[in-house]
Amino acid sequence: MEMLKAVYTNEIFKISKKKKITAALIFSALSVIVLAIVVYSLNNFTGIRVTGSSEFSIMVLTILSYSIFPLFTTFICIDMFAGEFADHTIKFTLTGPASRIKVFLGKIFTVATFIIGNLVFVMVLSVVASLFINKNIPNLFKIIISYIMAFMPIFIFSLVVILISNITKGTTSAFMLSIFIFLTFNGLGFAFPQIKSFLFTSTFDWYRLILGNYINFSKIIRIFLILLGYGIMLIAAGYYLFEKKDI
Amino acid sequence: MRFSKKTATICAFVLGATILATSAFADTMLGSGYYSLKNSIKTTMTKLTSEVDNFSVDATLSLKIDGKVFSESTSNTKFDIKNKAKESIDKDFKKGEVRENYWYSDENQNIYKNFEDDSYDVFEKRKSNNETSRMIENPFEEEQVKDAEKVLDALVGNLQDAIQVEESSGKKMYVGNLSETQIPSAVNAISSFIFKYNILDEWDAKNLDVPHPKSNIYLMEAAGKAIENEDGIIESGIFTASISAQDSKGIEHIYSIEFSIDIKDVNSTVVKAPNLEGQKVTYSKEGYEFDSKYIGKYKNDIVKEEGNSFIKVGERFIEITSVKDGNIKGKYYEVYNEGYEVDTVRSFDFYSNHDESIGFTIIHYTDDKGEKKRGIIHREYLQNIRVSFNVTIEEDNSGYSYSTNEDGFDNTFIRIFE
Repeated sequence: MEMLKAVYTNEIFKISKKKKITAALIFSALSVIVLAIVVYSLNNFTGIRVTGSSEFSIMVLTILSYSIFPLFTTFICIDMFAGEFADHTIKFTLTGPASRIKVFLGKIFTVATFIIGNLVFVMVLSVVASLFINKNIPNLFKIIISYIMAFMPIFIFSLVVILISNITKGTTSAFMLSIFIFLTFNGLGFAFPQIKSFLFTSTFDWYRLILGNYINFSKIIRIFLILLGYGIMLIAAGYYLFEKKDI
Repeated sequence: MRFSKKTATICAFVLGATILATSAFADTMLGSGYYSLKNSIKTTMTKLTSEVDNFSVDATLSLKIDGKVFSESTSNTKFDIKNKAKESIDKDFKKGEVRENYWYSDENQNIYKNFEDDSYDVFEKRKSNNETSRMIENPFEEEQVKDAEKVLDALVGNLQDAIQVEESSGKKMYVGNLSETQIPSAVNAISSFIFKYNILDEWDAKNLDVPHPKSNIYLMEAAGKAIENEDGIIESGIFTASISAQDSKGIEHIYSIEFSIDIKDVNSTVVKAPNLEGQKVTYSKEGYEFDSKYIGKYKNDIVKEEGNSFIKVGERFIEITSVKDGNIKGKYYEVYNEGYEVDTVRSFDFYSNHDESIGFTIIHYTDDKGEKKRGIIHREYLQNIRVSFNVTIEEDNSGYSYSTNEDGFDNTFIRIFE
């Protein structure tokens, strides 16, 4: 456990030095501000209230779930795996006392931390912004649950990216392939709705399930299990490849 | 016993894949309320358009402001698919007034009732060209609708599960209720926009004497309920949506729309033409655009621009020599003034076959080069005609369009009274 903690701290320290983190935060903040301005001016000039106070945070979440969150998660994952293998910095980590499984898990925890951090940042910012748009107090409980639920599919996507970065040689190919998978899965869900349940990309807006008056718990459990299945499978496959990969 | 790293990894992978496959499979099998409702609507449409002999539909659409009805229309329509007959009674309530409409149609006639003097108008139908066409088309068989369905599926996304299905004594009930937070922003914005500018714009609101939605417009709630009977036909459906908005004084109003539909008396509906005995009836024949009063001479001027003035260089004439059962015969010729003669002065006979088209009259002629060409003739105002020569016609069931390639040709011909 101590070792895992050490790897984790080390990884967190490494990514915190990266410019991409700053970029992710800047882009997220900008998106929230731009959306707030759009919503505010639409209401002022046309009289159409695009979102109420709690809906603003949900709207931001919906838009960023398909853009900034997966994009920057992809960057971070590729940097941590394909990137380190490509510039051989992985040597320092792997020749250390920690076993490969611990290094692998430490890195995954780091990615999860990044996603959570990004989500929390956007959530707080959007709640603050929504106070300027509407005077009423947003429903914080629903917003928090939604953001927690939104974490899961993005995390699954990061595991897909990690798997890809362990297969490909370079960072560019890993990036291209990840984007390709993301778009293909979304496209498949659109073209063949009957196989939607098998695609993790169709769960990116699953938090909508808890927003209504009628909450379909059995559906929520089914999706949770689907994501859990994906998670176990991807971690196992990712680790298998990571273990076999030569330095 | 200790597992090797490899075995443990493979076991974890298999475990994950199993959880994924079983739950995804179960999810696919269970489907969603949205999909079963969609299938149910499709089955209903297929059955009504091609399987049953007759049925009745009652529909009501009402618009309320703050709970008070300000406009409502109801329609009771009976369909006899087998005999291609249809009868409908509509009532419109607007600004405290009720207006009624009655309408009957079968293969031979259309009957309308005038409620002011209780008289009837009967239009005898001419034989339609496409006898085989069905009385009602199934919209789900059209390509456009199929594509729209896919787009809708994608838009609906995870809202699909907001529809619950309950089953009791062979009937299925679908219930759906969307609250403010659930409605996607795009859907909210688009519907609010349509509502403000298309459904109840400033002019309409003034006209109907209701408050105009000005600001803070948003979709509050949308709810629906549908019941499917033992035969898989949706026998009743109700849908409501409420929009909240502030008027110019900043007072909040709730605008709601309610739509309900009942499909009943399947295979037990009788559609009968109204009894016209002892009633004031006006008979007319439908579909003959031209009759004998159009026999005569029509003309317009051939005009040229010279310097900065118009000069009449000649005249175009159309003579309609006979009209029988909508079939026209006639001739076209041009006369040029002295000093303005041209090389080819056009002059030819034309005729039309009435059955060729339902919507308009096509004329046939042979032009000066000996080529067979087509044209179109229409009535214009009361006594005049409008003619286009050398046209290309595109026609399908719902309409037609044509293009002409005659430059500097004046289409309107004025009746000459001698």
